[in-house]
Amino acid sequence: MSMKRPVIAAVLVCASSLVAIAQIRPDNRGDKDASIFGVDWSKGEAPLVGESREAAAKRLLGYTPDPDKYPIRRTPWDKKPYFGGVFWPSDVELARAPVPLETVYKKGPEIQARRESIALATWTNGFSRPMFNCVPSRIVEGNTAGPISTQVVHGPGLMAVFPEAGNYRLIRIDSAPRNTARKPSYMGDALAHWEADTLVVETTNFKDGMWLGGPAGNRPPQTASDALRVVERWSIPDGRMLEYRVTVYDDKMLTGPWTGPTLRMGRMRNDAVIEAQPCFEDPVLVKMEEEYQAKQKEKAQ
Amino acid sequence: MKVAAAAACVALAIAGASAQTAAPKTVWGEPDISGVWKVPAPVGARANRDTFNLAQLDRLYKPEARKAVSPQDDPSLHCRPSAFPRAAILGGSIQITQAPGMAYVFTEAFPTYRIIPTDGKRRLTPDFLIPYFMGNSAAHWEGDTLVVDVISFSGEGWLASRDDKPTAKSPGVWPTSDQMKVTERWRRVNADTLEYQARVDDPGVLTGPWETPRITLKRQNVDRIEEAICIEKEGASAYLERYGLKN
Repeated sequence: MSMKRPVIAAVLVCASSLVAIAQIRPDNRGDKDASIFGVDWSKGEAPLVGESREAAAKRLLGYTPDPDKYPIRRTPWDKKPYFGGVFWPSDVELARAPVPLETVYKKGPEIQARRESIALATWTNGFSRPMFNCVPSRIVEGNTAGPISTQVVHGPGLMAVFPEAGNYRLIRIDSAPRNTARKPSYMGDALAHWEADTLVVETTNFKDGMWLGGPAGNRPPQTASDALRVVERWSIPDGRMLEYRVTVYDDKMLTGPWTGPTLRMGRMRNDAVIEAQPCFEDPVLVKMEEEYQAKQKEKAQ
Repeated sequence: MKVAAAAACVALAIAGASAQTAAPKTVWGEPDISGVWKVPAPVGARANRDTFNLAQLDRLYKPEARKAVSPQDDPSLHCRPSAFPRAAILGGSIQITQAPGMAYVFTEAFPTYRIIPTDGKRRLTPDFLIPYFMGNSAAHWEGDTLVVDVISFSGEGWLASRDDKPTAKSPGVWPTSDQMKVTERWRRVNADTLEYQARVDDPGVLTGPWETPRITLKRQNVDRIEEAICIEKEGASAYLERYGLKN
């Protein structure tokens, strides 16, 4: 196994984190120092840039939601909770996953072969992580992939989610039947309905081979099949945060459903925005990949 | 009596038709420009037909701005998005959704999005404006028209395609600079029609302002735009062909 793999992964994660900080901006209030670093959570102000992931986790986990003090904003069109805003960070676990995802993977040579050989998910060289080639992998893997921030846009009948440095997802909120003409896609076809104040998003029609989790040690990537179905539950305990939990179904790859951790994300100030940063291949990393592939070829000969 | 009844019927029919086609409003009272929209026919300058006012744009270019630029530098060939106005005519649909005081535009081709505050307030101070493919928008309503001022571009987008050649001498290169400013006018004409027009000021590459014609976008009977991810490794030309985009 190449020693370069963890290095490359670290580069990608670090680069991603830097982008996150660069993308979140305060508004026009003029008091830049206060808007960046001086925000006092205890006074009900949401943080902007400058807060470490550790500080955010401490703040979020030590907090009891208080919807009377921090009311849940509701939409003018259906009076349901309004999810619009920027949330940070996206990987703070309020409750852990009941079991590790790996424990629900089916065993056997066929499953192993699928996990090791899917074209976009070859994993042995460290360069073929979907993200490396700007292939979206965000729907499950991305939600726990690191301290990223997420922008949610919420309009009548539609919610859009932009994890920073990722592709947007468009989630339809209504009870109309699924459009069966849509082609399988990286992000799948997301339809949502309300269960009281919880938004339940069910996504199907994925391309074959999406990643649910990356490789680790001798473990190949946790890939899914075209039977993947993802059910997310989005809720707003009070006006300062949202909570999120995902359950994954895949009859071809898993022995049963897998439920992820309950994530709690803090709402940033209402005027924070994440601007889209389209993903492009980094020429430096591409060159490193080419050199690596050439060395591998040499070794094989 | 018969005449009066007939007149009433005609009046009701006219009112009904008008209600069917009138530009709708959102629940909170802003003009409703949401939906999935697409230009019904290719827009540009091909085969001696210029439907994007590109002959005028051609004349406005500073010669030095195009000197070192090749048609192969067209960002669409490298999976790079171009900003509006070009993004409106690429051939893919765009989707707009709104919330009070905000509009959000998603593009199908070279997927990206724009966040447009419609209350007239730019969200960023100049210190925090980072040059960006789609620029930074601030908008206000003038009657039913959303007027958007867009600044802070990265200068990497093009205004038209390498294949757009309004004259035989046109080099087919349409670069922009980071000095570009765009003023857009979006108007919902009726239930099925959205009108778009833009003025481009870019002293970095142009000698004067360029105005696009009014572009008509038609409402598409789909709930969302399709996912159309451009992956450079797979080749942008194949991408353009696969999704039927203008190249």
